[in-house]
Amino acid sequence: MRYLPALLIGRLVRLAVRLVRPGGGSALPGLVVSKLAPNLTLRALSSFKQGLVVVTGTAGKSTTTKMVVAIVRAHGVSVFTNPSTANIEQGFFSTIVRHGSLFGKVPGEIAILEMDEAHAAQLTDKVSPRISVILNVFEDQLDRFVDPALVRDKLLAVAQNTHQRVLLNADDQNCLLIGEQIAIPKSYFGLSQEINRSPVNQMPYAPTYLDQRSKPSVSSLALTLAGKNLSVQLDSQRASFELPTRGVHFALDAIAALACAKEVLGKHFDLDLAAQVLNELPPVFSRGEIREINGEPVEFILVQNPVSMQLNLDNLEGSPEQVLFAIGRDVHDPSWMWTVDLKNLKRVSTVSGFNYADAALLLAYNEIPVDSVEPDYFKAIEDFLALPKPSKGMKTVIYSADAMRRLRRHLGFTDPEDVDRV
Amino acid sequence: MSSVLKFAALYPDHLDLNGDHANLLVLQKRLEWRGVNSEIVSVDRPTNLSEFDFVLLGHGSDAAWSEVLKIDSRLLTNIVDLVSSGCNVLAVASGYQKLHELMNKEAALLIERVSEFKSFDGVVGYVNTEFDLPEISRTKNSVFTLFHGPVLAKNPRLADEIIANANWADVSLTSDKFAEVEKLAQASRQIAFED
Repeated sequence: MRYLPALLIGRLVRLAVRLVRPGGGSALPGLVVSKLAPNLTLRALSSFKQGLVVVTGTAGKSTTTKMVVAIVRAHGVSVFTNPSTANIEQGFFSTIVRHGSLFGKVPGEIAILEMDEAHAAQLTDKVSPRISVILNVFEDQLDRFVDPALVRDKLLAVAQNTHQRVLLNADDQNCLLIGEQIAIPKSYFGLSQEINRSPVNQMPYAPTYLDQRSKPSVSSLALTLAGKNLSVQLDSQRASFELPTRGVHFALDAIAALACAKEVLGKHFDLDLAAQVLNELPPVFSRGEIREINGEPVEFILVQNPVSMQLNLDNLEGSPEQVLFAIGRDVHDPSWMWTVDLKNLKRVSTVSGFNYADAALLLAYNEIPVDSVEPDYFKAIEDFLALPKPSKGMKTVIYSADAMRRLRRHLGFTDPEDVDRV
Repeated sequence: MSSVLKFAALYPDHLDLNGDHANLLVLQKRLEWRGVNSEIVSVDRPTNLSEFDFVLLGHGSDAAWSEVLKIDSRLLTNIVDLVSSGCNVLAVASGYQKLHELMNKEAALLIERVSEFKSFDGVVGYVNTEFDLPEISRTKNSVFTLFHGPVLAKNPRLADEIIANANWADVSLTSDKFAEVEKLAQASRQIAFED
């Protein structure tokens, strides 16, 4: 009963926000409830019969979490999860306001949540996860994290707070350093030598500048990757399926998700069923999502840090003829964009977003032709979508998270689950 | 001076954490647009830094610095010699702090970390530091700055100051391209302080 007033107010705030701004309203109710009932999240996350699973690391949290949740649900377990836009503590409050009862009870036998690295360290200090998945450490958000070694320390804290098993990426030296420092059981997932050998499959993990640790034995292995087709081996079992989106980083998300689902489900885990789920899973929005707008397909690509920008540009099918490049307010200091190799961008139709000037400067000094620089983002979206259909390929939107949210709201794409597999 | 200017990007895998080396691209393009060619050379373990017309010492993590100085213990001393002899050096963030400490023979004072856009002497950039140093300082022909990343893109006046001081090109030469990037840089400096 003690959370009733706070949750009631939270629900009313959410309703009010959504009346004013359809599709919005994910952050403010959480902020209000976090002030009124600060212990609500801890209590809710401690209440799941099968415990809490945390997916964290620099990149791949949303896709991996979505995969684990889909596999576990397909096995008949009810799951509480968070949308990708709500992976910090305030977002957990918002998710509880939205999905919980007015008494603070949230449905589900297990919670499987993606968590921002810093928030994960804080939250797991109070609620011990049963399982944590640590995906990787990349050079990301250095205006906030300063040094990748500090991110590694946050992830180490998450691992140390876990009580059943920690799942770690065998190909990332940062994860091997974390593995060295924890006493609880751990397992590794990773990519085969064959996949790692290909130059297009190199993952730019943050260098540790320490002696290289040798690769540990890997219980969940991605064996081969050809286009979207991935074959995997979990202990002695094998399966293959098609990934929702091309790119080695999605193969890594899939093998991490399979390892995690297996740990969650134990002897009930069915690899064939899991492969079938992944074969049919739509992408997380804007991770290679293709959507029909005005009768033509448009691809949406989210770039959040130098690594995701580099991997996504490297995985473009050719050089798109028409690109909207929009960097929003979420990129506090746009310096990192200058570490990305832009060779696959031959031309940009429109540059926009809050940080349009920095984005346009980057393109100007890289001598990439730009047709228009439009500070008014909504006008930029309309102008871009009104361009005649490209002679080959499709219109491509490359944007940061804030620009993504604004575009989705502007175009009325308000349901995060509303993404089709193409 | 050689016909093609040579710019050293020191330890690009270690000391380009925030895109500091992009400053060389900015100098290169601003020279190219004025008809002067230059070459950016990535250098680890440099044997003779004086062969370069310009040397950039960027910012790296503590672990990256530790490895650089382990394999190249004379790097900082050699760069201090370059600075003292009037060569053109740009040192950024921890690169600046380390040279400052060696040149002044004392540790830079520690303050609580500052992570924000700042303006100093008309130059705008992002600082993320716990060292109490002026955001920009100049010694002979060298520039030291706490502003990390592509500070010269945001501040073309500083880029042209370096070009003019080194006498590489006539910075009064201008074109539509310069007007375009100046307009963007001005907007970028303004946006830096918007909420």
